[in-house]
Amino acid sequence: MYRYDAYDQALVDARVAQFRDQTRRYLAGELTEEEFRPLRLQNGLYVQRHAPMLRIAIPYGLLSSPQLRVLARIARRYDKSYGHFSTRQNLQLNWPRIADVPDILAELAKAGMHAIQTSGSCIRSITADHLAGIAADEEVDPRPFAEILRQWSSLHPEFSQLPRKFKFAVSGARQDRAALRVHDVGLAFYKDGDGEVKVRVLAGGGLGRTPALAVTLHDALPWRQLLNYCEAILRVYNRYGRRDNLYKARIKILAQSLGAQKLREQVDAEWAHLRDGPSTLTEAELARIGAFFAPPPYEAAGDESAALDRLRALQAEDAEFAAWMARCVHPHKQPGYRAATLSLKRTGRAPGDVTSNEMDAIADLAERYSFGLIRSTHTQNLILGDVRLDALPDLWRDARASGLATPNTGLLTDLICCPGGDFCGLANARSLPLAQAMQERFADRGRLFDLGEIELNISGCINSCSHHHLGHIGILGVDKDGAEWYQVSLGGAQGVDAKLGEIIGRAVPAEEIPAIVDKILAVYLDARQLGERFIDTLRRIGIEPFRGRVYGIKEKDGKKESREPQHA
Amino acid sequence: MLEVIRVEGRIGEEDWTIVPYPASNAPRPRAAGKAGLARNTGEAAAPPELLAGLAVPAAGKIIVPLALWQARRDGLQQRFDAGEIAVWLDACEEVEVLAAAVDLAAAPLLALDFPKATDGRAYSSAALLRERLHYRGPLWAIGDVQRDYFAFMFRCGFDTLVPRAGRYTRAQLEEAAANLGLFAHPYQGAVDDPLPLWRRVRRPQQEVRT
Repeated sequence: MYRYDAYDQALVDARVAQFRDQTRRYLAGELTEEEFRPLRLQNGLYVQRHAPMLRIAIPYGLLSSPQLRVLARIARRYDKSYGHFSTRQNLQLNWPRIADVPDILAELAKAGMHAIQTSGSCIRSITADHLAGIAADEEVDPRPFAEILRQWSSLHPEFSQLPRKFKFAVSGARQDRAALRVHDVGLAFYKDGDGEVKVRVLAGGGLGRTPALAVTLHDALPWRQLLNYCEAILRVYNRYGRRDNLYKARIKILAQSLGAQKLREQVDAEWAHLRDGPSTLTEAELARIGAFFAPPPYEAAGDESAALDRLRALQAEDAEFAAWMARCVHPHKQPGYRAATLSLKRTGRAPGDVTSNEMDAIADLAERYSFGLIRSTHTQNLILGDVRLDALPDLWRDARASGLATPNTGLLTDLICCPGGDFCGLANARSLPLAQAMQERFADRGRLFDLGEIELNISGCINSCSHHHLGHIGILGVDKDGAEWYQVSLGGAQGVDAKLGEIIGRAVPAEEIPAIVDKILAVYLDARQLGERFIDTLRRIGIEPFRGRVYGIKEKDGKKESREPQHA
Repeated sequence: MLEVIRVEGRIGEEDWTIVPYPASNAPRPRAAGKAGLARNTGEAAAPPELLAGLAVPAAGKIIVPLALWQARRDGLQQRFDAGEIAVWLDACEEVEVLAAAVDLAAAPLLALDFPKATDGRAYSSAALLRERLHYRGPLWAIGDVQRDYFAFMFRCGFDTLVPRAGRYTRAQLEEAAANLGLFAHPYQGAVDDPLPLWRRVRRPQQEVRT
């Protein structure tokens, strides 16, 4: 992974000194609340329902064992000994004190970490495919480009006060595991027919109140032009993105009002000036950054089929291990290796939450089994990326001892959920108790596995931190006369064929949601053909049978209401 | 007298007077996107009613809104030629329009307004004035110019920063000026140094694993 040199270190150290001074002036009354707000946000500090929340950057989801131990220690010393992994691969602390934040940032800086631009109207911490560099279906490792973008975007003076937040995601694989099409800019790296690295640049995607899938701005951008082209996009957005209405300020609205063609023309016109300028990337710089992401010293694979035979024998003996192998182990580009998910979705635990003790345990596991590196995923789990095939049984036993081997990756209980009304100042509804109710309801292994792959996303409000629009089943908390209600959508999907879900009908009180999910699943079980996943059945039979079962004879009312705006 | 911060943190004074729009409840197209809209719809950056109520000091060095310059140019040209009139640009106005309306080579200075510190349009305007329109004269930041953004403003090509009158004590300004060098090696190029860090210095190579 990337390691700081003296320049990186000086920059994060200076940032800590700067924020320490700003916090001092705020607490002394020299900075008003309004003046301090954008400064603290761009250092990841929110003021929330119960306490401040600090969002720590895990750039493109990569961190080392020593860094994870630092996070564990910080959570112990300054918080309640746990943290929360978010859908942007970052780690959130829910209970720090404002006066302690400069010290927390100083401890992070010592470990080569920061909270720069994890919030605020700026280019946010960049996310990536959680299998970047190891995925069997990858053409180009996007991590060096993600690091180049991290550096370029950090404290970029011209783009320091954008109309609204601006999120990048990168991927270099055939499958899109980074939800590129719902980001302000999604970058898909690939090799063209001549083996040259090109970038498909998508822009204008986003969730929230006005969900939109990104349009293609450039189909085959030469990689050397990456920063020039991004600079052009950001300049057009900074100048012409709306600033009069918070809800219309994202680039998706600019893309919609101009139209894809016009936005493309404006970006191209700006790029024509910046093209081949000083920010043009070079082979040497890419190689310099790329060297940090060189493959770890893998051992020669030997005979993979013999190792697989031994694993199969163990799976036959132990159903628990078999379940874990089926759900939590992923293909790898290196023969003899696999990636393994450490699930943060065990029943009774808020999705994505991890205690300090667990962080220490995971840091140990990573050192023992995976070259001391950990990946965070946008589905709020952690991954050990480089595990030897023959070490999987030992990893499983150790992970299980720490409660990290819940075999549910991709299944209904691997649900994505935001902190919701229990913590977040924006939320309309408490998503966590609902998530827990769902996990308890589907705790039965046989039923859970029989239902198969289903993505369930629960957002506490329309800001859509849990990407409910992309859930096969999406559940959104809405405020109705001060009470918590939920709206259900179906048919969303992430990936190359990303699709936004469709609302099936009127919102219902929280207590009705589990029964509604049961009805939805019953329609699937009745209609599915052999081997068909939930989403396949849904695509085949359409949304109406689900709507009919859920709303019964009131189906028509449901349909009518679903066409009304989600929010007054 | 305006108290200003110049490049390298020198604190100075200027005898220019900024002529603001009169305080009014009339809606102004401050909204971003309006610049783009104005191009499409012809909507004026400042409605005529607003300009009508604008009192222009008869003497002294003054900085007037671009829209006023456009509307009353004939009456102001002589003072412009004498170096007593400068123009300031609203955040929702485009530098291309400014360049078409004002002789940049003859302008005594240009000022760009930050309606609030979190409205970053003037950063792009400054960069474009310097890099695209090759404006070499004094470039002022006016409006909600807060000390925590001084360094970013200088990086984008401003050379004179004018905080709101009375916002900072002299001691606070000196403290802010002393902190300007905090980020000595920014990652990316900007107007002050177009080279990104990796072209500016030789950065270490990762040791090759054996």
